[in-house]
Amino acid sequence: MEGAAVLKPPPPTPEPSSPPAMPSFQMAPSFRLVGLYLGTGITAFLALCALLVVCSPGLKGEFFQGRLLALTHLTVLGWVSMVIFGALFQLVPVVFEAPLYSERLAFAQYALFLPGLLGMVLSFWNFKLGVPLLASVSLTALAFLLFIVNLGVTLARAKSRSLTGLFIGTGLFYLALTATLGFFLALNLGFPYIVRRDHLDLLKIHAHWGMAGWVGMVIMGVALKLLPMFSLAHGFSTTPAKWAYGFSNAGLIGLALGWWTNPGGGVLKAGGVLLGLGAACYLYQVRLIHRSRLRRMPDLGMRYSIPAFSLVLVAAGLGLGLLFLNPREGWRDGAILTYVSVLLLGAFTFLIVGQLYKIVPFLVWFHTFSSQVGLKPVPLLKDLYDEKLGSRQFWLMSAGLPLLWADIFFNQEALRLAGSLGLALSAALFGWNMVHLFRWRFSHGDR
Amino acid sequence: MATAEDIRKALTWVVDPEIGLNIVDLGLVYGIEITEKKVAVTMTLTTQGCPMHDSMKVAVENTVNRLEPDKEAEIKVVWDPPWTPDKMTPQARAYLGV
Repeated sequence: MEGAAVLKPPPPTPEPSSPPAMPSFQMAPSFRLVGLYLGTGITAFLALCALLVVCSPGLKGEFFQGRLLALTHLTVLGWVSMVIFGALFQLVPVVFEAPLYSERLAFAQYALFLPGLLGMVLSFWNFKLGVPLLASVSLTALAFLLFIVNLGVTLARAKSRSLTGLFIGTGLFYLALTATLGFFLALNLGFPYIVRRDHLDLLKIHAHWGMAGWVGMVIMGVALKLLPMFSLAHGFSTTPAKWAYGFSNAGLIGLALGWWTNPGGGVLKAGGVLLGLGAACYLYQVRLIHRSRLRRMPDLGMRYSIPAFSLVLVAAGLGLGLLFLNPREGWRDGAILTYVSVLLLGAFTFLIVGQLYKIVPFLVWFHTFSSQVGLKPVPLLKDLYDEKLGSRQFWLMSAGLPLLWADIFFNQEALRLAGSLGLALSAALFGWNMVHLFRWRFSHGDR
Repeated sequence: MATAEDIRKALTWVVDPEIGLNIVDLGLVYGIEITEKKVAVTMTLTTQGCPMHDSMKVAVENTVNRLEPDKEAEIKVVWDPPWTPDKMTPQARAYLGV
């Protein structure tokens, strides 16, 4: 067989005499549902980057302030969680061969989640605590409940059990814990002294359950499936991922117990070390997958995962530094903000942007071209977006974020505008590429 | 009447859109059996739970139907033996830089 046949198959002729078979679409949810979540998540990311340019002076000093809480929740809920919801609705049914329990429930979740999120961000932004915040938090919590039920039942119906399923299921558990604690925190802000604990210690538990428990567990589980699939990696051990699961859970329990009982004590520090070990084990797992990959050259989507996983290491170092070195007052707030933003804007954002360059092209391709494969030439996934633009976006993000972190950490205002502008520009390129991708669907759509 | 080789050749038109390689060179087609009434293709995918499962299966079915419209196309996706990289052709390995 000629090498050219590998790369450029000839167009098949003649046309079939009977109507072509169609993919069953039994497992995959509708394009409308997944596109709605992913599109909203991408829009939230663009809004977040624009807001960072406008109000990044607010990223300094005391971390418990309205605008920072608004931006953090816009990032975690509007960007990160919204994309995770869409991605899981798309991936769980096809990967676990179990159709989504209820698409109607997923739409109902969106109808509760979006106003809840907007209300929460506006309440924090204007620091209007009390009833407006509580009402928004309640809507969001209800949306989470629908999601947990919907995805939980879907996972329970899966044909096989796997480590990926365990990570995702555990992520759902932490989502429930995060939402419950978030509700009590909102209650405590509006009606103080109902919860008789230091608000900031509870906030730290809430943040870690959300970031490492909910988002971290889901990302670890999904990446365990997608990284080998995209890089054609075979024959690697998954033992490090199992250790990562155990250490991360032990660490999250330790951190929660530490902040609850004796902030600054040994349990808290042990929790931090265990969570750090969990991250280290998972990074070793990623290295094993990387070493056994067949696709030597990373494509655009996979290139984003390199800084993403490297930044997990940076965040772990910063977190442990905060626990053990106990930096003095002037440095502590900047270090905490850097730690959180390295994780949210760095590790999670790089990984999510990279995976969106895989998930959105697949989504569009699947619903637009999959019934035509073998009948006529169809584009490859990478033909659906502008790879050069995505590459420029990568470098802008890689340059902008460190400037932003340097500004937060060292309190250097000169770097602030350059950093946030770099990030905003990269977000604009990303938005353009995503619009271009979704346009394929609307101009060639058949379902 | 199409032979197994004709069908195998036609299946090189079925390209995995993520990898950019056709399923024959990837070593995903395990066997093609042609009887009087049926064309049975046994194939696999690079990984179980692959999101391309449905699309690839249907593409093979469409290809068989195009070549043998009067016969039933039976497409079986199997996981045993599992796909391994050594099932790829030298061309596919070269394309991936292995």
